[in-house]
Amino acid sequence: MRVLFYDAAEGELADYFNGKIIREFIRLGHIVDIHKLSEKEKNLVASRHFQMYEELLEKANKEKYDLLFHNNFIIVPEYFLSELKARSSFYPKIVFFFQFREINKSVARTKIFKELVFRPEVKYAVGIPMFIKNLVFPENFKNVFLTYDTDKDLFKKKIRIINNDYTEPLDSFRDFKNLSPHKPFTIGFFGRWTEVKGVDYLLQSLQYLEKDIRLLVNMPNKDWLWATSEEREKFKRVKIDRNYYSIGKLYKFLEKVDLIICPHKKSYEYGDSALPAVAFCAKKPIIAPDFYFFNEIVKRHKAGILFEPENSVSLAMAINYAKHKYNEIVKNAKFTEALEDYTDKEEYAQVAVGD
Amino acid sequence: MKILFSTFYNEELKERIKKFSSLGYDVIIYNCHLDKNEENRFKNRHFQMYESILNFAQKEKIDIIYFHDYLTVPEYLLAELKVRPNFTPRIIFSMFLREVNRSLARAQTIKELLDMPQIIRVITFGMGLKDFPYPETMINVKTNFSKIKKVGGVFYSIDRSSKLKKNIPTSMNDIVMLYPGRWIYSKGTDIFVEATKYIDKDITILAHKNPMEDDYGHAIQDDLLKNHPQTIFIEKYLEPEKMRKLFFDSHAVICSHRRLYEYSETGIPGESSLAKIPIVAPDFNFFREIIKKYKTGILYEPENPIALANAINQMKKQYNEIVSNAKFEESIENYIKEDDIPKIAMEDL
Repeated sequence: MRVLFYDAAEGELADYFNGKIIREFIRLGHIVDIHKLSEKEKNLVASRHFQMYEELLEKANKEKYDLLFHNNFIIVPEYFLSELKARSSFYPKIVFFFQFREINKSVARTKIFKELVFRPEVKYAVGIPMFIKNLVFPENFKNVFLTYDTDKDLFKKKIRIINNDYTEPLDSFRDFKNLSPHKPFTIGFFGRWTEVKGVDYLLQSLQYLEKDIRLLVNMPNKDWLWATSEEREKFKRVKIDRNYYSIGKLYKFLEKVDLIICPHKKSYEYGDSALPAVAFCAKKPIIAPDFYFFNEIVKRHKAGILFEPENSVSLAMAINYAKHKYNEIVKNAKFTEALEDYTDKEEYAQVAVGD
Repeated sequence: MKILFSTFYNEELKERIKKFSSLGYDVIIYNCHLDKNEENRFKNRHFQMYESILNFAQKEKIDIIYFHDYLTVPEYLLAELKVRPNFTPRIIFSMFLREVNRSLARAQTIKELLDMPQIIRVITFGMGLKDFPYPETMINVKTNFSKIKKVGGVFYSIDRSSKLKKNIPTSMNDIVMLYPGRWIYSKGTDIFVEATKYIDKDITILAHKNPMEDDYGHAIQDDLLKNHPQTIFIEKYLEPEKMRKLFFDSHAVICSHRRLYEYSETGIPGESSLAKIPIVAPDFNFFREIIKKYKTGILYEPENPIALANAINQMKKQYNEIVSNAKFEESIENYIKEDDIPKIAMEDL
């Protein structure tokens, strides 16, 4: 089988994990070509532009690949669907990934997604439920997908669920030093500093935290919420860790913090996040919003404290509580058990090849 | 009749809303700024951006929703309408033809949207041309054109008694060429900066940058200065009247738009003609039709920096001839004031 492997992500982490999937395709006897984004496509993707699938589909069809492996979440299924509908014939079969949170947002979105999944060109749509086994499907998803028997058959045939992968090589934590709680007690956030992740609530919560707690932030984007010295003064208990942690080195950030904050907003319900997995690798608990999947992970594995989403006071109370009960929380948490629900990247290729 | 006036903007719309009221309609304003979530959805072109307004319109028994802001993601509106088979309010929206022209997939979406019974009128614009051609994509998918109303061009205001004075160059060594607006990919700022390597060094470039949207960062400004030291920077959002003054202070305008911009709308040809200054523009519609019809500038091969540089140099050499042949006055006859759009939108309904 000739596979066109597409991934918009760049950098050593993407190369590392994509390499695992590609090697597995080859081991299984398939031929793999890689499609990288052109400069034009990068701009279109950055502006969430509908044309972001045009070039990719053209290439896959023109060169008659057997399989188009779309190794990113389809974030705008409306565009992908309209591109498929505009093509009278499309030779390759498609495997793509999706996040449940993108589908659950409205009935309109779920219906569009259903139409896309049931297109004849689509071989599998692969859902990622942030390492939850025995997933509880979102309401929209159940209502729209599971209404009729015929749909159920198609559902079983076309939807695949993969537990999330590690976002860092697991063995990189062998050099990790798990220290006693820091003085001052340090809460950590890493990743993109964006509104959907609730960073505004996180900043608001700082005023309610006990005085000897600080926030350490490591983020790839350079944007920061404040620019003036006055604003910096207001948030002086926030420290920014400007180090770039290359692949396998993120544990060095985890060594500096006592727990990981997931301040995500409600719109992240059923969303995927790397934060819990990395925290658990370092045997650190998480502070997470009380909605799926976060609440399920925390409850199943006793691996953190939940707070009321989009409530900065509740978030602060959870952090203060975690500080006081820290040793007890860490002792009771089943970090190793939680990580057993993960899937190795190689399995992505195995799922795509299918029966 | 109850009209729901939907807008992303807070101010500057009072006159237009008054126009609606004066036409005898009961106007309710739906302002996305009132809801932070909603505002963010619009900013991020998020699919949910039409969900709340359609729910609101149905609940409040609105007769017509008037989308003041241009429809940028028709796929989302179509998806929301499809899950509402009993949706009773009618819809009027504005769009740019460049959004349709981008692919066959997009044109088919527009066709499907125009075939929805709730859509009763679509306003679209021709950058100063009234009877402009539709893109091939729309013709190929057999779009229902009867719902589309063409508007030649729009000015924020047309103040013909303006006190602004045209800045006439004393010699060709004093010529000032304006590069205005947002520095974004579709407008090809990188193409323009590359072109400045090859332009005559005594041309003064007045580089205005609207910081509200920026695809390039500050590095490109350094490149521009390195390529062409004779550059004056203005990095600031300017109100329409101040923006107009920049045109009056210049002698020509440079457009470096990519092909993505074909069939689009921009205020540049109109503002240039008001200031009686010519433009250097890429050879595609609507720039092409306007410049051929009114002789208001020079065309060059799109997305080719050398061709752009040659056109800029040619503009300098033939400046007096181009200006004397240009039909500036004639070219702005198809423009209307922005505040007059509602009247046009509601005509014959």
